[in-house]
Amino acid sequence: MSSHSISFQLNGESHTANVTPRELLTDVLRDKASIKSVRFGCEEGACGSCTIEMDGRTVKSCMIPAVRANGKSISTIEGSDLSEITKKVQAAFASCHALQCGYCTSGMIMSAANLLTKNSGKTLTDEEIKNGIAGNICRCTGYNNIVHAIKVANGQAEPLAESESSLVQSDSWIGKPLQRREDKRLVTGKGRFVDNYGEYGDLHAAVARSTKAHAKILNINTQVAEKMSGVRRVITGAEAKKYWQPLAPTMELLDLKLPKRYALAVDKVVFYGEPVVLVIADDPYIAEDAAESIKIQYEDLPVNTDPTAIISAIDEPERLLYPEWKTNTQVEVRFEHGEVNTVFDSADLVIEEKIGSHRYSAMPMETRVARADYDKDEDHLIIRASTQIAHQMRMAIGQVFGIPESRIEVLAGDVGGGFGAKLSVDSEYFAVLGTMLCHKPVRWSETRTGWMHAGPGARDYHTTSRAAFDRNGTVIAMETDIVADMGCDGAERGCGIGMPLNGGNYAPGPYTIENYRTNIRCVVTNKGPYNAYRGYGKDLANMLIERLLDQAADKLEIDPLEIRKRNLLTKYPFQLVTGPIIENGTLRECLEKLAKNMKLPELRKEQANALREGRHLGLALVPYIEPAGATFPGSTSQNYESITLRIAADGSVHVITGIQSLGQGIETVYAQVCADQLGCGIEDVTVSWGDTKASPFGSGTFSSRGAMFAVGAIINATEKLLPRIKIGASVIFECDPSEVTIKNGIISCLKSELAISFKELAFAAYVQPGAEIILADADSPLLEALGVYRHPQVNWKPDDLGRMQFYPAHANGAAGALVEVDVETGKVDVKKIWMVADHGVILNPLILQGQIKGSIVQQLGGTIYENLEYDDEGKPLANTLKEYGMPTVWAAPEIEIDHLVSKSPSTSVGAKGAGEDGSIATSTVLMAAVEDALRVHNVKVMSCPLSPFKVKEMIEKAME
Amino acid sequence: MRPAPYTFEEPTNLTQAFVNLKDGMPIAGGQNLMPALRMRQIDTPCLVSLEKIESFSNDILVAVDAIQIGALTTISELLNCAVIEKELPWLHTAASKLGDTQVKNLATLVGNVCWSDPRANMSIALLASQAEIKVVNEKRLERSIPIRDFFTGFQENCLDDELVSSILIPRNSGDVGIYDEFSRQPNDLALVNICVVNNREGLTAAIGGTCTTPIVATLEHTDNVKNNDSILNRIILTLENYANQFATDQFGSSRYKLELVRVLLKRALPIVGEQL
Repeated sequence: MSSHSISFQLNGESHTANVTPRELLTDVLRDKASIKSVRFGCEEGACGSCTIEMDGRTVKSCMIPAVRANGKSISTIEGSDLSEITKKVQAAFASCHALQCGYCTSGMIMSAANLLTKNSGKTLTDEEIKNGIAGNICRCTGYNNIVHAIKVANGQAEPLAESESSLVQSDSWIGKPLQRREDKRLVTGKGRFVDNYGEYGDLHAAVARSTKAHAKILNINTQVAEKMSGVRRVITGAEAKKYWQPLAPTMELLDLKLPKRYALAVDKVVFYGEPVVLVIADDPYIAEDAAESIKIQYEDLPVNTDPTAIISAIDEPERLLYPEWKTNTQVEVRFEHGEVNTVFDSADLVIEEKIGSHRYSAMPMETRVARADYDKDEDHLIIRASTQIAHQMRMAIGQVFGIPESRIEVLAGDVGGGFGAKLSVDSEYFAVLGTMLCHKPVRWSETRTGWMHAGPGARDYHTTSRAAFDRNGTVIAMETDIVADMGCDGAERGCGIGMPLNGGNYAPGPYTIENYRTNIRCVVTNKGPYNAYRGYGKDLANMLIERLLDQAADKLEIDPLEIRKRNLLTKYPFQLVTGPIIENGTLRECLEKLAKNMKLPELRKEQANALREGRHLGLALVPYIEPAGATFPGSTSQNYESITLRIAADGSVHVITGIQSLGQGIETVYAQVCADQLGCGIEDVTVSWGDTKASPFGSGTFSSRGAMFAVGAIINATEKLLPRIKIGASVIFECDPSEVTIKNGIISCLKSELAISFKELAFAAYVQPGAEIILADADSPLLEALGVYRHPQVNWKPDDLGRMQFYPAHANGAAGALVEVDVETGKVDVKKIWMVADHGVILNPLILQGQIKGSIVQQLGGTIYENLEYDDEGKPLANTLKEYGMPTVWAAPEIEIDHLVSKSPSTSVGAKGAGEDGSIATSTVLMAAVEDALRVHNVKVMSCPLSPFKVKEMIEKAME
Repeated sequence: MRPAPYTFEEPTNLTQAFVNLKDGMPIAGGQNLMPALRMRQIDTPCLVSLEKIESFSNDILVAVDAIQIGALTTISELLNCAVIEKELPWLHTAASKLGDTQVKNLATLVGNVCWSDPRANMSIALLASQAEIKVVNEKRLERSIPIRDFFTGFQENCLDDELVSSILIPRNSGDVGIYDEFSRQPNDLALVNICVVNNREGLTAAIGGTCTTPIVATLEHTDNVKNNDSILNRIILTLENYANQFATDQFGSSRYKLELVRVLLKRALPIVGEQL
């Protein structure tokens, strides 16, 4: 391939590079100019993560062959010559919490700064701002804070956060809207994402994927690939079996069946896009050429795409994905309590509906990425990966490759979004196999199409749900029959299998329903894998009960708010019929406050007026519970978290945790907690994560657990260190340890008014005069402690009915929505979402609200726009973010959030988990609001997506 | 994914360009081409950049009776043209709804037309404007193609070893028109789009998204555009003649898309009528 020598101005300096014509500018900037702020998020120019300025105009660098940059002038966020406007935008993003994981942030800031530069001095409307950043997709924030930040940078609004330095006199860091510490590196393009750690000479992995959804592999021809220059290794699934074991399951509970598949298909494929052959080559271009050249012959097998249809297909062995199972049901769970049949038979009203949701995906902006480096002489493997669970990844890799865990290091820096989809290990094995065979570092970066076809899907519920009511609207019995589509698997490649189980378990909701039956079947089909996604089935539970309540309210002519008040639990703790115990909360109060915040009577008036003009407004309110801190026997989700807390000889404080940062702000919040609990200065605290060698074993990030588990572990460690500090100080002060107080980094004596800093104390303990004098009476001479937290409300011992406590905490709240539906086109316009949320004591309101807003827009996207649909042959219809329907800034409605606080009885700080509110309640409240808008046409909204086409179909069906 | 290998040529004159194009594909802004290359939906042995061809420009020339838009004029540049905004607001709207800022900064008007997607914003607006496509061949012979004869199939056009050198849009005072589209989110690919322009001879409606090519309906001597159901019905009838199953995809059936067009037209016609 001929190469071209190009030269261009890069951030004000001349730069030259030799490039082949097909090399993308993004690759050249990243690999040949060390500009790591430009990132890949898609392959169609949709996401904008690679946005740069070229000759003063913003462009997507992944849509430009580098050879065309010859003679151009390029600016990126790394530039030392950044304009004042860009610097203002950077500062505003940080002071408005306008970023979470930070993956999209560089591109977003480039677009925002360019917009402000073009409109210098002009006040911008929301519409103008949205137009300016519509080409940049953010998956975390829900966009509202980004729009706000741009206004702040333009002098139109005030920042939302407070900085550490402005709050020095604070009594307590907990509860303060502290600006995030993570943001300093993320707004300057210096995020520590996996692919930044690539080095010259690394090898690259690519895979040849199945083009059939269900077929036997007859023959694989790799001859062309093997002869290509730059190809190091071509490995089929059959050959790879020599080097690895089947995929390590994330869940192995109940009597669920495991496919025991390998990371590369061996003799048959079970979904379109399944990896079949692995190629390791000198660069990603050659690797893809080689993968594309591989010819695979198949013999078709019958394709299953409808889980409800194939439950009964056990007589047709060819339709079984895994014949040894003798069924396509991966697990079936039943539960029954009370007099279900009798009550249904004698009830005044029975509502029965088919309620469900389509398939969509967490879709973080960073796909699955890994870099593995195996040192044969040392027998040591280092893997950098984009994961939520560094320690569990180490377990899985050890298990699959037979390497002792003590010889594996997993490093996870900044992760470009997870949302549950990075809770398992799957394609990351390719990098490991590559490095083990080639003895060089190997990089694997999943393409967006790869994610679309073989990445984790979620939701995809099909239910028949019934509830029995008396004439007053009291729910007296409920039954849910749930079929969930696991795709090819919900326990090995992903851990989504718990989602429908949660759905059935929590469906009775916060209501006093004593008679309940559920039957949950998790069924495999020829679709991509099924993984955890924010909400984790609590969304389904909410949808089932709340949709049924709305139908009953309609039939019995009871106000929807009133029917809920009549059925809501009346006292805490409250045990659901299925076992979970809601420890305390404010369900009723949140609902009432929500109604007040929404100004319901005025909205109803507005709705009536609109209808007279032929406009269809709809509004709805639903309460929700947010079970948090999941623990499951037979899984990697355990009931503990640990941290190391170390006071170094210079007095600096280090918190090292196995909880992974995915953008949820742990670096900031844990420092707030640590400073409060230990009494040290917040500026002296550093929080680290994502290093299996440095941190104690941790369970990782999932199920909104950090606010309880990591915080609990920090408190536990401070409780161990505080007596040592007091003893040490008492030796220096010559007083009694009980007379020592510690606050804001000052250790002082109540009696003598003597005071020392952490630095002075630490030096005294470590060096002069040393621990044998300073800490002679302490339990340990070490200013370092392992903190462990185990949630007291978890209970894995089944009661008489076989019920256990998997979720130790239950945040709660209420969500409201106002929508307008265009009945002619079926288009739903979400005008506003309200939420009143109770997460116990709030650690950082800025970050909490950021989580809530993000989860709302994410779930709104899933409910209305996003769709992982398949055709009858099992071929995915969405290959790109645009086809998939990724929400842009235009999808984000106005959001109003309010809080109530009921202190958690379980942690001394009193926080419950947070971050899934929107994921749980948004689908339900939007379905209810759309139904309300279309009430005049008698439309029932029982399923998503609420895409224009589907809504129009619902309207037409109702009008028939 | 990343593109398959190709060579890159940057000719400075048309003679050289046509030599290079014997075995290659032209690239202007590349905003349709690059995604297709990256997804390996198409591949080509050679990419021929049009950027340096001396006779091609990004000029917008405003003459008395027409506006000529150069082969390299980007959507952003088009949006900055005050005459277009004032006199051809439907074209301006179509441009403003095309892609996002970054795409507009590179995508060219000519490229958008030549890609020949039946829902391309600019094609629809230019069809209703009765634009002329100026093309040139390797012998430097020029010809002018009425845009309604340009599209021959899905992403196919009548170019025969030719390049589009410019597009000519008639400038008639008194023309009124409107562009509208239905997409899931703004700046997204439209499911269907329409452009209606009324001039001295009558009314031209261009519709994308219901067939493998855009459809044009021309109605002579229309009056009372504002409240005339027969106009709407005549356009829909034309569409139904051409409607095919092609339009059915995950975003809607072909019947649904026809219905969307009907709704867009029903809303657009009174606005056009109002301006007459």
